[in-house]
Amino acid sequence: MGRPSFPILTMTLLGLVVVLFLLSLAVGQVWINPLNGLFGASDNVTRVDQIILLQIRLPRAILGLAIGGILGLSGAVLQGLLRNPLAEPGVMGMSASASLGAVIAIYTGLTTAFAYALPIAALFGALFGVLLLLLLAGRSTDVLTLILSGVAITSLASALTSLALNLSSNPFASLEIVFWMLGSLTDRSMVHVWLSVPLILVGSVMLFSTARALDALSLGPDVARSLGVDMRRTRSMAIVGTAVGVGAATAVSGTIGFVGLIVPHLLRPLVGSRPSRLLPVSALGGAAFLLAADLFIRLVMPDKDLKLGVVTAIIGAPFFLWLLRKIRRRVV
Amino acid sequence: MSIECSGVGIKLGKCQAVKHVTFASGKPELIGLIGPNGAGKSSLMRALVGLINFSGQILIDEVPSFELSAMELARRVAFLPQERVVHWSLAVRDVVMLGRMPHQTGLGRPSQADEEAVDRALDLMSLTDLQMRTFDELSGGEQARVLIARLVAQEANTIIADEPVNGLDPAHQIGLMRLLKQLVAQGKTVLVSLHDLSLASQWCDRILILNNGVLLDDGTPKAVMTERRMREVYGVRIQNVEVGKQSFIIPTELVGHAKPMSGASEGEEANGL
Repeated sequence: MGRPSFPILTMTLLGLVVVLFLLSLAVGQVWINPLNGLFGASDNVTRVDQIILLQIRLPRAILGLAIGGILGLSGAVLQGLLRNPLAEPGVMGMSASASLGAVIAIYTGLTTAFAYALPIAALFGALFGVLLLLLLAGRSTDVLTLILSGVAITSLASALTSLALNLSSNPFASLEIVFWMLGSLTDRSMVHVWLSVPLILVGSVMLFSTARALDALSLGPDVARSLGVDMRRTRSMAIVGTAVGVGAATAVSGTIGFVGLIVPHLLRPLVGSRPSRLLPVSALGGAAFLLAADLFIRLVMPDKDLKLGVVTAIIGAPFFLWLLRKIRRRVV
Repeated sequence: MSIECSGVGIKLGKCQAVKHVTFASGKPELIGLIGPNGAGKSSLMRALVGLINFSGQILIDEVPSFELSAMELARRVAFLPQERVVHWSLAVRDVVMLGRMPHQTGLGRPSQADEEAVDRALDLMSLTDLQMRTFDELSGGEQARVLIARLVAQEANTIIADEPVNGLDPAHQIGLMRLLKQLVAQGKTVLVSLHDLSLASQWCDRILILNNGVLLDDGTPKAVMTERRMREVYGVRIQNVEVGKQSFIIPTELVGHAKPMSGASEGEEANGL
């Protein structure tokens, strides 16, 4: 069986995202018809249903869509930029530095003084992370320098996060830190949407602008440059776009791993491995994956408050091992 | 179409990899750039396509190369580096289509002209039947042809290829040199670096000999690939074999060490070559 054409694949994924988005609005402890709830009052829709829909489920569904999308998109861009199938947004250290910002806000008690201190501090954390990355990687276009700089930032941010946990005298703060780091979309409001989605959109535009350069990079950086690609611009767009988008996403959801690794891999064979075509389908695939994982939590264990980051990691880690084996077999 | 280097020097770190190289070409010809490892061949080629900084002047179609945008330069000069990789499992046609990038604007949707240029390149390289196969499914010889097809699709007047016959068996080496000669017949200037002295003497219209970053000779193979020069540059004795009107040069034995490869080799290593 041949692979589907690009328009058919894109439309199919788009349809899937729309269905999952509507299901995300409908599914929960109370089943609600989202169309009635969103587009005016039918007699059957009570005021309570509308409140649940607009204030609880709509922000959660929008965040699932946007965060899944940016994670899938940035994973595809970073794999193309680094020409490494194991690259994902976490490799740049943005998730870890956003987490550190959030942890500092919890540790210092800022979150008790101001409700939205946590996502704002996480955004500052991500910003600090990208500045450090640009400082460490400098003007070099060398891939290895970039990866090692990301690893160094991740290690430093993780160590400081551990230090905060270690020194925290308040067990509730420690618990809050741990729960936040597990990643979740529960209890997010429209304020979280307004804080993160505009930045995710800005990051997405920057990431999409690298599409053609990533195609040329398939032939190596020398050929890409000889074809007229501005490598410095491409690298900056990819790093800053990832930092802004994934930083904003992590700021409101906590760390959600593996989406950026798995989704581009699953979809790559369906687009003939062309990096530029992988970007839109990975964004749609990431959105579908995260919406589906969030629905899974609500349907399978509604009473357990299972964290989204835990579910994506449980699916992602075995996939990662499978990927390593596959690559090793190819190398051997 | 023309390419002109005057007083080109290239410094890689602290090493002077290329020293005051001057040559010019204003007509379709196959130019072989020869010299031992670390002579500065790759550095000179990379400078010609704007990948590394240099002193002196490089004119492309009588315009200083630094005045050309990256896209303009790419429309005039096509480059095949030593590193011949395709990182993803791309279809042959998609690889060749990448050569059209300097001609595309906006979102880069291929135009009718792009599709036709790719068809011509595939046809010239006898790859039409393989165009839907993926690059990694092909043999080494077929992969070399695909990458040359990408150069052809770029439709630049000057083609620069860094050791394109490396790793190919004799049949594919000859096939590739014949294809390069065909490009010359179509009006292109082709500059190619070679380690195989026999191929260089047989196929090239003109030879540039580079050693320790210095351009020692510039002329026809017969005029410059002399016994004395080959011994001096490579430290080997050669034998001239005449077959019909063709003259072949065959290295036969070592006659001592080639001159120490000063800074250039370190520079090229530092550059990942």
